[in-house]
Amino acid sequence: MDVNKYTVLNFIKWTLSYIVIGMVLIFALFPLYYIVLLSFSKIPSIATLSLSSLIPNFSDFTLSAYEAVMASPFFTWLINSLVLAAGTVAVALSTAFLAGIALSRLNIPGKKALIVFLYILTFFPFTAIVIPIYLSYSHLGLLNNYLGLILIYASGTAIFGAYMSKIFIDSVPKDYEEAAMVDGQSRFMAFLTVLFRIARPIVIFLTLLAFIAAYTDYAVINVLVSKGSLYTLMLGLYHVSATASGSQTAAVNLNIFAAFSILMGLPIVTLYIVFQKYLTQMYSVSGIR
Amino acid sequence: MFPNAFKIGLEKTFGKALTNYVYLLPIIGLILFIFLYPIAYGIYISFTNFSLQHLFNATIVGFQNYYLLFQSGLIYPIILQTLIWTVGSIVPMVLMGMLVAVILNQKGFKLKLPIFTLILLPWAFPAFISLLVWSGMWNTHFGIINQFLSLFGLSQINWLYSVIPAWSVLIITNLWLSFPYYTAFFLSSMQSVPDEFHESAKVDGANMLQRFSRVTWPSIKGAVAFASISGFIFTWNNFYPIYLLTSGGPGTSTYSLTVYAYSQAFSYYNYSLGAAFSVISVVILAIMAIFMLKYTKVLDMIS
Repeated sequence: MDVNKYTVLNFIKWTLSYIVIGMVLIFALFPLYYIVLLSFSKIPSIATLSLSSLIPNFSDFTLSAYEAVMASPFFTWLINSLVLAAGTVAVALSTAFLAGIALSRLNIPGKKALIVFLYILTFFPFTAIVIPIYLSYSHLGLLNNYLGLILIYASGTAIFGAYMSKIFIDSVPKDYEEAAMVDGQSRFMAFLTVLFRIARPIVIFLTLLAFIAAYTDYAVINVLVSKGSLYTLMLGLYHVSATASGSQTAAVNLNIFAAFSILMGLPIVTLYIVFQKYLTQMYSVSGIR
Repeated sequence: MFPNAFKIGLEKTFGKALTNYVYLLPIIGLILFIFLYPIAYGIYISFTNFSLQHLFNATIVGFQNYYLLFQSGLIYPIILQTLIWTVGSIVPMVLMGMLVAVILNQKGFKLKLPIFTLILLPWAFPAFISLLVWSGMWNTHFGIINQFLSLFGLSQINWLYSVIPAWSVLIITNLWLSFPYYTAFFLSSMQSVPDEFHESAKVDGANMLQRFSRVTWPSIKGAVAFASISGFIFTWNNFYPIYLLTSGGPGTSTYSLTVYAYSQAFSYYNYSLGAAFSVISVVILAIMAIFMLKYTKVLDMIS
């Protein structure tokens, strides 16, 4: 009797679990399914879209939207995006990790006040500082300059990253780097080799954040870059699919917008899938309890 | 060799504590340059009449912008809307993130890794693009959502012309964008709870809810607090969803402080009024955030 009740409850539990996950998956994947489908269609705008276009019809599949994307300077923009993202990752990671080491391990007078102060600075939205940044950048010649952009993208991730690294390093026993120091490494090298290796999940998480900040930005680069040769994929996407009409969403080139989005999203999605193992470890190693 | 000698020299001159600041120099430099100077400048602008008419001859006008905001009463509903936007977004995100994480974390759940990967996709996809896609899906006449609802006999809903539908658009879309982040966060912190804890609670006869409240919750509540507060701050300032989906409409009923400040500056060229809005927004956010950080003891964790 008791066993029976347990089996029934168990059955209900698993059925419910899979139903809920099924619904969550439909919610999560529908918009992505929708653009994948559009990217292989000839549908030029949502005005010609109907429910029946949601059922894949293989005889109507066409690569014309992808061909249109390839006819644009897609690869130039891709390289620009990757250069910008790589620079951002390098600056964000190195500053965040150095700061994390200092905040966790070193004796720094006024540390607590400094941490709270840095934290509050991040409350200022980009929209509040964009005009002053624009003015100072135009004085310094940093408009239409990737260095200027990298510094902006990196700063947000660097502050958040400094906290993540600090909390993580707090949870690593000091013996680790002390052992390395006994082996004759300088303190700095000991920190770098030992902590950087154990911290891999956090390093990867921060890499992803920094990469995405640079790769997917529209608001900042739209204000600070006007030169076509410096366009990134994000500006290029806008340029290719939306310039003809005033509003972004009534874009005349819906299928091209979709194909461009898929191609642009692929590098990030690949990164997520490759590093997924580390993403599930990040908080269990971060020491956040 | 040289860097070490240089470092010892520095330590002799300035003392060890000061050389430790060297580690902080890059981030402090970055923050001074990207945050501190522009913020100071922004605060200064909020006390001037800097606008399109006074582009080259702006003068200091004291608290006039702030007085205008409170005198006109315009700011109160926008503060309330910012709270609706933030709390209304965070609560469903955290609940859904938690529900999905609890389900995936059950021992014996099949296909956990592939399902987790698929659930991460909305978060991995560039948000700006996703928002454009959603914006098309919510379209009144042609949008796929209204077409789908018509299957059930519902007439076309004009999502952007009344207040409740407009908020639904914002909150549902924002939920889609961000719940995977919370799932990843919570799942990852739940995995740090050893299986034996669950097993021994089971042996003691604890049911599912009891196991959650006694085993899982105590070990993840710090992570939940950290995620919720950083999510609160991020959402408060999150600009794209409102800007791209409703542009603050209908009327001004879905503006948040950040988006309103932006449109004052870039649509109406009222730079000083926009700056004053930003300053007020940050002051309110900072007070609330510090209160929450203290209350949940997250501040002890980060400092």
